[in-house]
Amino acid sequence: MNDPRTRPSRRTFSLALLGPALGLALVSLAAFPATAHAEGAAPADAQRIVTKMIDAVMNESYDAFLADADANLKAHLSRQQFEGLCGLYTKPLKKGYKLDYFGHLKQGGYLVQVWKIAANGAQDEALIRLAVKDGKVGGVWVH
Amino acid sequence: MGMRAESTADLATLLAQAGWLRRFARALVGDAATADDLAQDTMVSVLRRPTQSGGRAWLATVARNLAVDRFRGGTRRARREEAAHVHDSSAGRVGSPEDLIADAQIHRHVAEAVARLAEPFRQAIVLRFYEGLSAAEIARTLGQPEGTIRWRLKEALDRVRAELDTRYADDRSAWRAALAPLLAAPAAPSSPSPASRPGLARGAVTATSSATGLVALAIFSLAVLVAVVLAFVGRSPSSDAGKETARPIPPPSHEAMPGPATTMSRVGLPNVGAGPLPESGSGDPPPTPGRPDAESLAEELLAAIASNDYDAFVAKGSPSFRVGLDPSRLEAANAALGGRLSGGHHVSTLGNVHRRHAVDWLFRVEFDDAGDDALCTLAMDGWQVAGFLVTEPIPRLQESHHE
Repeated sequence: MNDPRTRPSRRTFSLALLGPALGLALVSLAAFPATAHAEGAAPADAQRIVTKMIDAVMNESYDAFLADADANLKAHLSRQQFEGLCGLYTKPLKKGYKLDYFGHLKQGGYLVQVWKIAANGAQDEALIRLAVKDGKVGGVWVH
Repeated sequence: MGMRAESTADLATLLAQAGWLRRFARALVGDAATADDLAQDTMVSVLRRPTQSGGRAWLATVARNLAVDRFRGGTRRARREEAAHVHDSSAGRVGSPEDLIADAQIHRHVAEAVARLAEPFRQAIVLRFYEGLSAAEIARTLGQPEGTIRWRLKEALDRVRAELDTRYADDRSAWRAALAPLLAAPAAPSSPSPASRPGLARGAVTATSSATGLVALAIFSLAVLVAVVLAFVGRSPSSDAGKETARPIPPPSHEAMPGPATTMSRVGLPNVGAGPLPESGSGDPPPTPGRPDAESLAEELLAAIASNDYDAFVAKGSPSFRVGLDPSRLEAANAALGGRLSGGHHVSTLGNVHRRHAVDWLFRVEFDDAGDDALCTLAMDGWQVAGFLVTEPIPRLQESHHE
């Protein structure tokens, strides 16, 4: 597994790519991680975490966004990167949104939760992947 | 390097390579859509190989090889290739191996500089140079004054330029010189035939298109540097191909992209399917009872990957999917996933995501080897497959190697 924590000599950084023509934005943040749960329903903890992170984006609160992040994510997600994320999503999310839990993947020792989020009035829905382990978020992808 | 010379060209001008390559590719393949695909494939191919140059001569060689792969035996292609070669006066210039390596490193550093831009500068530069939007269009998209966007673009380029200057402090002209040969003006061709367009276009290149090409190159580089998608086969159709098919196709899993890309390529046509596949904008996924056709289709595609059966893989693809899929991509996916798929797997539907013009179906693929799951995305163009993406395992982090 390409766990960045095993590669201390390499520095990671995140990137936001925006493709307005397809209304798709990909924001990749740092590394990774599980809370076991029954298939088909979002575990309560997962719902809490993802909602908290969405609220953080809406409120443009970097600290709140990282409140449940593990040390690795905190180390690699810069405030600027978070601001980039907010630049893309804060405004549409403030109009309201609908969040659906799709399920999870088992990847790299982490439970990767898959969510769909649809902002009110937005033409495109987005996919959120949240890598969680031991209640801590190690990575989040929005695209 | 072979063409190294002092250049006063600014950053935007120096990175005109992608624009040139598109024109060259167009001369090779004839139509804009396929040419853009070929150009981006060439960029990705070259940038994946850090020991190779991103210089014009090498790009031309790679583009020709890819065109040959794509259109095996095509006599029209052969004629265009020959003609394009004749009119590309710079194609024969090749630097030393050391120069070629240096070129590739510099191109990578440009990409890294763009990646490190803070928001909203990175956003502006991606929109301007990757998506090809004008400052006015960006302004409308973001709801910002056009003057603000123009300032952001200038500031972004200034920052990239400053970082490169800092990185090459001991040889400040190095990065400029490495890119300068890409802009060498060729002799104007005597005839404006389609095959001669590269020469004409280069001579008449505008500042805007140069800048577009420049940062497009940086973004192409990013697509290689920042690995997100681990296996990707197929691509989306492109209704306005001249513009948007320039999206790089992420490399297969063992090479790990993104790039940007990535990222799922655009799916350009509305989903007009019936039955279990939802119509565009129809809202919620179909009822869970029964197995949706999309899932069966995903299994068929995975089986085709497992057996490296190109014909089966493209059998239900849209025309763009069939044209755009290079057999080497399927081979790469087979190499990465074939063993695990053949060892037994189970596909389950996660749901679908509606985009403006398409519906992406998402599946979890569990393997009997109890290893990592894969996330599979199937883009549908009506009843036809427009894109297929397998992400396995967790996307690698974007990373940069700092010397």
